[in-house]
Amino acid sequence: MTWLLVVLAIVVVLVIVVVAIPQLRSRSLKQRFGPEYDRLVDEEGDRRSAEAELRGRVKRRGTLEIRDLEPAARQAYAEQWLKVQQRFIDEPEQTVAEADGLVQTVMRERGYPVDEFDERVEMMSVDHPQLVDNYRTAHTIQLRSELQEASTDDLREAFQRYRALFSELLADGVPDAGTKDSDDHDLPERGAL
Amino acid sequence: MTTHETDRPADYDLAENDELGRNDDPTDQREDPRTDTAVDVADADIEEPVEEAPETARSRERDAVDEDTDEVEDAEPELVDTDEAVEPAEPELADEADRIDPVAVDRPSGSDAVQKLAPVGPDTAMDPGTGSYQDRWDAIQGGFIDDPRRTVESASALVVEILDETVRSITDEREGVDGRWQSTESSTDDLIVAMQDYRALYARLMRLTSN
Repeated sequence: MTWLLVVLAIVVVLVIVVVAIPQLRSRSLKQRFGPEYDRLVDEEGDRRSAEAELRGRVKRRGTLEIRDLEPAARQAYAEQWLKVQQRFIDEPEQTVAEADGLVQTVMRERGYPVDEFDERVEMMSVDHPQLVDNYRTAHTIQLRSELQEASTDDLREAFQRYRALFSELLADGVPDAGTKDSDDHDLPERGAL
Repeated sequence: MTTHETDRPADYDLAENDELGRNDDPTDQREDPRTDTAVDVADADIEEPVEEAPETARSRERDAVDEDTDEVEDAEPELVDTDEAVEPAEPELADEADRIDPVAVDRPSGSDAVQKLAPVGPDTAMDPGTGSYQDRWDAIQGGFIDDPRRTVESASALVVEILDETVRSITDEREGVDGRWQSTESSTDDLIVAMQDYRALYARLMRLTSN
């Protein structure tokens, strides 16, 4: 009789290891990255490599030291942004490019790598997954505008999307992304300096 | 959006959902309540109006408007009977400059920051208490991003307001000078003063029409 119990126990353990744990990890990744998760699964074609990619991002993000901006710097950037925004009616393409530049400036100042667009997006997907779509769309429009293929309304949209990202970057208390996949409840409260 | 069902502080969720709502359809922000923060940020760049705009035709037009605005303000001290302020609420600017900091610093969550950046807009700019014409113009212009049509309506309204104000103040000034020489007892000295006053008025009109 005991051998039956042993087999049963082994089966249970196997089920946990093979099915439950990966599922839990998937779920927590999915929760964390939201639409970015689904997008990546679509792009990669399979869940496993998408998840490996996302875990890789979290790991890389964990090696970065992200700083908050000084209040004075935050204020200065906000004012700079408004000046750019006011010039939109005179030079829409140019101001969208400047908006992108300001986003990158703030990212760099806060400690993110900024050399490659992909790298910027990936780090944003860790800290601000809900804004990654904004970033991608804005960037696409901007590329079109460099080919003179973006309408003024497109440019306006790009500007707004950059702004959403920018203002999030100006805000305090970015989640301290550890190397773990979940644990979001351990995050310092936003706004805590 | 299934991203944040769990664990995060409530305000975090709100901020993000709010933001998503905005950004998924960026053209649909018309009803955005731009409330008190709007005033603060509208004044965020009191210091320098955006003058370094490029030499496009449009920007020249805009500068023309700015110049006219300035002239109305410059001419203000010459008014004989200054009972109304052409440039409203100068002292208020200092107040609002003080209030910029709390907004930027004490309310750092994401959606607030968006609001902080967004609210330069036509709505508050139409409240004459908001600041100088220049501040209001700048605020209107910055709002184009969010609501082009309403921004243009506001620009039109502000131009009308300045025009009316200018006509009124010049008319008042003229009537004041008229009253000082038209009585039959006016001496030659009175007439000299009147002549000087008319000359000032004339110069002001010439400045206004020189564009």
